[in-house]
Amino acid sequence: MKKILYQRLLQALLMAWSVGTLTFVLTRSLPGDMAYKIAAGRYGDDAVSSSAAKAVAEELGLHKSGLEQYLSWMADLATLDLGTSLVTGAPIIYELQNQLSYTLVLAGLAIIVSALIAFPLGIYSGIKSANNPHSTFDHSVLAFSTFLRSQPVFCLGLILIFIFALELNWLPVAGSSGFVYTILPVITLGLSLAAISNRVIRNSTVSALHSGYFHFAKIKGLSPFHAFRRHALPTSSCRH
Amino acid sequence: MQIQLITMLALVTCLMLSACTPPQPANKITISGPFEPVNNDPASTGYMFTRMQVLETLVEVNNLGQLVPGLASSWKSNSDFTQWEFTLRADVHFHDGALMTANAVYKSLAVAFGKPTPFPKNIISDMEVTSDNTIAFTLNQSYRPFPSLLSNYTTAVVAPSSFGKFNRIKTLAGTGPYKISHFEPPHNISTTRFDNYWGEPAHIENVEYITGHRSETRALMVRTGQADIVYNLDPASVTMLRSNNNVNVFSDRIPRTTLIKLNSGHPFLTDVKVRQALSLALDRESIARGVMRTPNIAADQLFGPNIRQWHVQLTPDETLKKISAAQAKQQASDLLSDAGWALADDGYRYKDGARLALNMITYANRPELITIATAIQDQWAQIGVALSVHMENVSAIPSGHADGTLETALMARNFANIPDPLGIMLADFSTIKGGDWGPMNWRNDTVFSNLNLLSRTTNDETYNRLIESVMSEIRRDVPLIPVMYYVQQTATSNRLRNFSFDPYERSFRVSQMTIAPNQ
Repeated sequence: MKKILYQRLLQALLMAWSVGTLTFVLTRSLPGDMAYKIAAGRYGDDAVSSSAAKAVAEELGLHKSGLEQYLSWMADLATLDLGTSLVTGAPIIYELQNQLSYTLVLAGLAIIVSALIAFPLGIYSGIKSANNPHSTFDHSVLAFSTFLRSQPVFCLGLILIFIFALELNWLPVAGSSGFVYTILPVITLGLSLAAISNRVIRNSTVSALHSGYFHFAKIKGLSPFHAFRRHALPTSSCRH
Repeated sequence: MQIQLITMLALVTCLMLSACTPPQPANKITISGPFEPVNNDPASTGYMFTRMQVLETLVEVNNLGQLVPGLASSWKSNSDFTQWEFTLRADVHFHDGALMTANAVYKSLAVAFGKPTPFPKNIISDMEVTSDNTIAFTLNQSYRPFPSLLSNYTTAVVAPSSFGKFNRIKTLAGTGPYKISHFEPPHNISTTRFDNYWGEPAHIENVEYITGHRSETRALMVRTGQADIVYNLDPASVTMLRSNNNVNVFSDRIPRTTLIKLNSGHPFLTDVKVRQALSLALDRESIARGVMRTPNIAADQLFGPNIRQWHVQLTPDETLKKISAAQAKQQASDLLSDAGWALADDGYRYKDGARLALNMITYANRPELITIATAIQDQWAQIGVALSVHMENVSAIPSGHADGTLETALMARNFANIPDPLGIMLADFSTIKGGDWGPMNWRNDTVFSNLNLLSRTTNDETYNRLIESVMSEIRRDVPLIPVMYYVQQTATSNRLRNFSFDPYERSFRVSQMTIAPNQ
């Protein structure tokens, strides 16, 4: 057991080292002068100049040899010091918290929204389709899902902005200072996700409804509703 | 049970949606623009804090580009412009309550000069506090436009309490009519009125700035009333907003010109005839109408009409409109033939076996540049010049200048960084080195010596005569090719009153605006 743990720890360290090294090599092999690019990010279009780039290179020690920079990067990494942003000067951990928190909130809420849409729609389509393979409802949902999924997400976002922000004036167009600002992006992402997942759930439902155990449950005397709730629903939800 | 749950959820959603559209508060306005405030350091983000009227500079600039007192109430120099003394305004308080003293200003400027500035700070050899309210500078050369450098945002005066370890900014406190209440880089700055302001206090209590990356988003924000002022709109959005009754659109010329930077040391470009031909071949009016959808912005010289002293009134013979585009193209072709570039069967020009082919760098931050570059590519191809356009990071221009690899570049040059054009001319046009955003490997001894005289002259008549001579020489010698002047498109919601646009883009001027009641 101990041996396995040691092996895993070694693997994790090797992984951290190789990712760190790769990042260093890739960043350095980007075309163009790094100092100039950092100066452009920091001081903006109108103030980027050779003197600003020189100041940046001096401040960050970019004139040092590649090996020296690599070793200091590795030393920082070993002490879990992610350093500060080259452009804003803020600690990287703050930048990550700031940017990542929005991403996580959006992703989490989008998954919830997509589940709220996909489960009822998928299950209902599945039941309809099991009863009638040419169900209009199922075909309409399929067509609509295909339409949604074939849109790039930003296109769907624009359509929703036109409806809910411009025409109805219910929701803001852009911004990030409150819950109300998350509604449109969450619905956009959620709809796009639900377009696929409702089809997956629909297929699972269909195969559960055609399965032997579901028929057996009905034969043993359960009402279609109970047979579905006790036997088909759990398997169709868990299958994927 | 399930039905109840669904009904509940539906109700909550409806409630949330109905609560989503609160009316805009009567004491707050929202501004949106493409500018990203990355941190609270005046060296990099000072331009945002002066616009939000949090920070102020010693010298201010009016609509005509003239210098007017800011935190300095007056200034004077010796006869050869090497010694300067600035008298500070009395009773100015910082947002932290402290009084602005000469020592505080000294500290703030000393830190600012230790960081990159978009002007040559190496001309300052000494700075000292000469009394409680005066601060003096000694320069190592005559420099007439010196006060204009102290209007740049990097020199904005910051309270001593703002500085932390290694003079990094902890919490930014300035002297402006608004103070920061919340700052979330790079997307949000919120400010509230500073009641102890030395000038007329602001009318609107709270201001919020939201970074809106896309012009289309900003246009929708002002259309829906989510924003009260939006800056930097694209031509298509302007057309849409003009037809909306709830929005006012403003178009103002700003001191910025779209230019083609030329490497005059490049073997193909050393001959002035080639440079003149490239300039003549441009159909600027078509680009202005087709790409920018704004007529009358074709640039026939470096500085636009709003930079009065340096914009030369051209005689009818000198203007671009004198000849038709077809005639201009013919003249350009003749000039190239004179210079020895012969047209071959493939439609391009050759000399000594070399094809007249050039590279042009441009950058994506200003979306119109790539479209203009493509138009230029086509127009130059018509006179037999092969141009390849490369989209790069904006820093490729100064770095290409430094390592000599740049051939041509299309750029939007900001002349507001140093409001006195003489400062720009001295930095960029007075040596063969040129400037990162100016000429490259270009030599014109008449211009070099006249600019040197300009920085020293005290006689206004001589000053104007020298300007005319410099500008006409530059027009003839084409170290840069002017393409068009910039027009800034801004839109405001109609509840906003007293809106005015600062052509030097130093301030959003919110402190003088009001919100119309009952809207």
